[in-house]
Amino acid sequence: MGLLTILKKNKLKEKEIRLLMLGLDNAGKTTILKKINGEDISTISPTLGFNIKTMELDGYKLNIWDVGGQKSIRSYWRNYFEQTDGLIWVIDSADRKDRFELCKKELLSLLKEERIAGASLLIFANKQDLPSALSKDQIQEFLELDTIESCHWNIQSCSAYTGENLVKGMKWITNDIRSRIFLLD
Amino acid sequence: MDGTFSDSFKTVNGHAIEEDQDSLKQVGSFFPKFDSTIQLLNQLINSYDINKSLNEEESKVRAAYGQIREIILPYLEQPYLLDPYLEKLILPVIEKLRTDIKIIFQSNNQIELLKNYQNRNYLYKYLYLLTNVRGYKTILKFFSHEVNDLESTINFLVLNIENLQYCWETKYILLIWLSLIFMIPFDIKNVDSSADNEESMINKIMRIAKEQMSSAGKEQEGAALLISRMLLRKDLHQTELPNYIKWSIDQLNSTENIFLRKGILISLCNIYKQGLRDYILPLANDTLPIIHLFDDERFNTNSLLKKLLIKLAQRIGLCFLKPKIAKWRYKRGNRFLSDDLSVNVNNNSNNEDDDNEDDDEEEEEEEEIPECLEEIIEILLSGLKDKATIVRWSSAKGIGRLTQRLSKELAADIIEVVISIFSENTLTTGDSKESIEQVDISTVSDDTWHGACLALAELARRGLLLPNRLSIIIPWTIKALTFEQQKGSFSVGSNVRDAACYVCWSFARAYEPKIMKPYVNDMAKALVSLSVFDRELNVRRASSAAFQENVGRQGLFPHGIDIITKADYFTVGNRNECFKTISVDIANYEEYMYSMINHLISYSVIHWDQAIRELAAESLGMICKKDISYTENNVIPRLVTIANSTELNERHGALIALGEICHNCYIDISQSNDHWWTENQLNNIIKPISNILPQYSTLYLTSFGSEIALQGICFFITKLSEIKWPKEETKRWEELLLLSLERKEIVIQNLAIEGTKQYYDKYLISDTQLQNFIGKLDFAMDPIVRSGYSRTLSILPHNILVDHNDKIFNAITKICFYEENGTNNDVESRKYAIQALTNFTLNSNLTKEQYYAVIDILFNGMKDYSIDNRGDIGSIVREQCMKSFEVVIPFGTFNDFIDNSSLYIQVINELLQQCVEKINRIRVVACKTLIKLIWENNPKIPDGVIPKIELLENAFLSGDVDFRYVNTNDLYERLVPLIIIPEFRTSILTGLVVSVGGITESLVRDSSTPLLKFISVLPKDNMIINDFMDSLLSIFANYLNDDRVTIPLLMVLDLLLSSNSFEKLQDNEYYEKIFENIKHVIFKSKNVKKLVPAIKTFCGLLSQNISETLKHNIMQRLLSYLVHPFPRIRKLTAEQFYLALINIENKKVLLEFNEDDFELNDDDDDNDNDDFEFEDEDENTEKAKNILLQTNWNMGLAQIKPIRNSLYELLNITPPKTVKLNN
Repeated sequence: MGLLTILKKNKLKEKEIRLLMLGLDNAGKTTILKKINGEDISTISPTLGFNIKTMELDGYKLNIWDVGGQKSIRSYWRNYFEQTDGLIWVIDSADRKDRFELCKKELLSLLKEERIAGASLLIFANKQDLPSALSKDQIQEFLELDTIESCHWNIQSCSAYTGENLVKGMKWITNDIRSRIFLLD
Repeated sequence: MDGTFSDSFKTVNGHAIEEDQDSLKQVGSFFPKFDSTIQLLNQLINSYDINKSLNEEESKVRAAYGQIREIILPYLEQPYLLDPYLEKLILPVIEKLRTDIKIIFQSNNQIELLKNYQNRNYLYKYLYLLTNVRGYKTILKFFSHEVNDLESTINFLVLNIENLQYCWETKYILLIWLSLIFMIPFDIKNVDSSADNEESMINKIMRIAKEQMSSAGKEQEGAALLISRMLLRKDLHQTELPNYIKWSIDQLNSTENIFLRKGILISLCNIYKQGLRDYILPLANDTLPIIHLFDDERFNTNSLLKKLLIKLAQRIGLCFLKPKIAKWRYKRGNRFLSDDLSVNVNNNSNNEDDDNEDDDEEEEEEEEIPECLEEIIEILLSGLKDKATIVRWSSAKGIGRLTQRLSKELAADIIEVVISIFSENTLTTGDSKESIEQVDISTVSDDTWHGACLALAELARRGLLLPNRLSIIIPWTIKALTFEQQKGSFSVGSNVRDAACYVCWSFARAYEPKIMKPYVNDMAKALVSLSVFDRELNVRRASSAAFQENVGRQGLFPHGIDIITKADYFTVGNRNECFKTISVDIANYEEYMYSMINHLISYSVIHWDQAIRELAAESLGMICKKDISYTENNVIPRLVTIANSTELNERHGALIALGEICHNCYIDISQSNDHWWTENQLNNIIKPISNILPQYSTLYLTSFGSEIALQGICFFITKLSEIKWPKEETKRWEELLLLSLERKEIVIQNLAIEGTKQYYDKYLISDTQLQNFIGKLDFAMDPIVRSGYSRTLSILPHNILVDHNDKIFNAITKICFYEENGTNNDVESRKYAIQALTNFTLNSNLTKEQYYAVIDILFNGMKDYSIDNRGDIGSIVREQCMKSFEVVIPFGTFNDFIDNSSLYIQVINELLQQCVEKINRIRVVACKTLIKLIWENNPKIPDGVIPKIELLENAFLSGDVDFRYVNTNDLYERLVPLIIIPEFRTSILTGLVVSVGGITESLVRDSSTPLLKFISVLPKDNMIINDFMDSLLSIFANYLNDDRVTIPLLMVLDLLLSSNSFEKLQDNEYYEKIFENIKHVIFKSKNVKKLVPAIKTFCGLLSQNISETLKHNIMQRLLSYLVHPFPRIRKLTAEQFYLALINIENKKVLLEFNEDDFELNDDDDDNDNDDFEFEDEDENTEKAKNILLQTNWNMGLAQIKPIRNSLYELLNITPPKTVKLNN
């Protein structure tokens, strides 16, 4: 019995979930994080560092990793003590066409990563409060989400500014993860 | 109880129902083989009828079970992925089991049915498999638990236990099933149908469970679970529980059965974990004495028992204390996500206010603490120091849980003790950070520190370590991060470092940034150093994870993100990269540079593992270059002190580190300036460093460990020579280099040669020294000394070599030659001599004549097949020669030494032969050399020299194959077709014969298949089978007296004859030649290895299309072998001869058959004659065959000889002159 088995067991017992928040720059990741953490969102500058916030939802402890605009997010996939349970991919629904292309490319290459196979994927179609925003169905079609077979996924329209649907999305991913990991607890 | 169960059940199923269907898109599955599993499961369930005994079905059932097992077992790693399918995987099985049980009880012939039922074990095995993968608690929830199951299951269990011996899975599953059914909320007496005079149901169960509790298998755990669940029933605990506890204590004190002790302890742990406080508190004082068995010698030698005792102590302790969570604990405060985000901006600061309120409430809660709690805590604390990890971990958890229920003052006492564990057995001077850093930990136990770290982490996780304790805890944790103790040839402590990383990780999660702020810097520095410099992979990873957690939660500290991306989980996996690249990269940040340098000097440079010392020196050299003045003022003085230490590891590490550092710091300046040092540097840096070697005791250089010391010294001298160290400060260098040069360890010699090269490059070699060197190149010298000096001579500076060209050339060539059976036939030294000669060729100015002498030596070396107890050891000389060709041939081309292209062909021939020989290493070198010479080198072999180059190209270059990893099958498929090229044919065949006729089965197979294929397609491209035979015969001629080739060659001939490869051979003269050659080869030979294939070949020849004379001669030979002194040879000859005769007969029949067809018009008389002769001959042959077959050839020669002699007449063979027929 090594330390790792101990930790694995602990994590299940303590109902901890590790989420990674990703997306292109300016998609609104930090705003979402701050909003659901009840912080002031009036002054947010591009994330230079990365933040881990812990919050509780339905008795589960969510450790949310906001990795910001890191070039290489590989470093955050996995560490010695924990593995990523879920991914939150944030999209600026009112973004330019070429940025959507980029977004699609990044997301697809992300899903090829073997180490996240099995993690749940939540896509936040953010900035729905803007008039030019695409609907979640349009985005779903554009990103060809229906071709994803490697993991459980869901797309949720939301607005970090108003807070609309944020909790709904978080609940989905928590439920999905707990139905995988914490069933019967 | 029942209610809880169904509730949890509902949530399982309820999940999907409650869920907003719209948002739940589940694509794919984590259990893709679900359907086939269900199919297999149905097979298992329906495979037989309970009323019939169908044992023959068992293999099928077992196969189905095996397949299911294959599918399920991989889920051990992430078993929860199975959860959505568990219901479907379990319910049908349970249904089947229930009906079966019913059928059995309704039948009159229970025992008989039960025997049939043994097959059904696979269903229990299957259920056990699931509990094993997913855990029994989860699986059990799908079992049925109806009242009417109770009695039948109990009775079934009893039946099983009494009648079936070996089905532990069945017993285990039944026991845990019962434990579930026993949770029915009705009074058990109401369901007990046993008559008054019978044993009551409860008693029956108690008896059975107690019996099973002493078993060594899994059923023990099942029984313990069943007992605990039963005794905790509302209607039973009052009457039965006290009795059971009493029985347990009695048994624990008296029994010698270690399994029973374990079973009882498991059951008690279960009782105290699950029991309602009201039930168990009254008994706690009675149970308490058990935990003192911790010190009983019947228990304290078994880690598992000790762990259970610790667990029990903890549970009893918890039972004494009211369940509550300490109000005084530190709460970081997590926000709770709720639905109305718009409202609650900025209200998470509430948490901090809460903290203050808690303090006020504190005084109200003064609970009476039972005295016995002290005993419990004492045992838990001593468990922290136990030598078994499971005991320490259990203790740490126990301490965490108990502390949570204690008052602030009592908790403070416990924490105080945990902290004091660190300073146990040390001379601590105080609690300040500085004094903790200074503590000498060589006397403490790694177990103790590991336990203390685990306890700290547990306490921190629960918020029980209040921030005011951090100022003392963190220095101890940082100390633990570098914990290492050497014990003889190994070291302990990586578990302590790993646990310390866990503590740091927990801290990052437990406390708010403002609390951690004062400590974060120290911690970050320690973690960064650890994550790149630790020897153990798991510690590097743990450390990098802890660092990441700190960066993410404790806010930005310097360059955190950059470091995370540089030293992440994946990159720290490679230790060399860590030391050579990542660390150097991170050291660019000044904040970490100096702590990294410090870590390297304090731990890595003096590490017990030489590999770490060398890596550390390299790393240190590169990092120190970034701040030379710091290095000169701080690093070098420290290292000089260490280099003068009496500890070998420290001395060695510091010396190579100094070499690396000086080299890195001064290499640039020394390139442009021969006299680069300042007066200051000379006095403060150069002189102290130069003083190290002169002070080395001779003991260091000759005694145990000197091989490490000398490696360090040679390296040191090399590095300093390269930067033109002042000549007058090189005292003793030459002496030490020459000493190393004469050492037998090749590592040292290599380093010494590199050292002398650099040394004489900068500080000229004297003429006397040169003469001395040349003098050592003599067969009279020790081979090792000879090798060392020859290699050194060959790499002296160019001008020296040129000045003494002839002298050195002659000296080296003298020791290159191979003397068969010579007393100086040392293979290694010859290899090094050839290496030296090669170097010399490239470095000096040879004449053309000398160049050809070199080539001759190389060709001569290619013939080196010296053998000693290591086997074909000449191979290392051949290997060296091939490597030499690789450079010497282009050199010759470049200098216009080669004026005859036949030299190239000759070289290629030599290489091709090695390409197909039997040692893989040699084949690889040969192939690579050949590719280099023909296609890659500059200059390569001139165009047009090599015939049929397109075939070679196809063999070596097609498909871009790497010959290092090519399999033999592919290799021979590629190379055998090259036999078609006349210029290379004999060479390839010579090499190939050795492989095909070898003894390694796979090699023989892989090499013979392409050869046979090749022969079968002849004639092809102007090559006919005669050419092939010519080649074979020329190999005979070349190696007639060389068993290395002739024996395999005989084997090959036997193979070719028996595979009918010579079918197309018209010219039967070849057979005569082969016969003559074989005769020569086995002349007077007593070597069975040679005789056996020779006899087989003879017999093989008989069935070929050979002349009557040859047939006669061969038979004559064979008959003489029938009286060979070795019975084995006699037997073999008889057997083979017999087979050959049958072969000949068969052929004849075939021939006659053909003759009948085509020669009908032949003269009648002739025909009759022939027929008559044939008949007569046939009869004789038949007799001869019988004699061959039926004689016992093991008899004495005197008995055998007459029998053999009779064969001469029968077979119509003239006896050789020496044989007297009438003796």
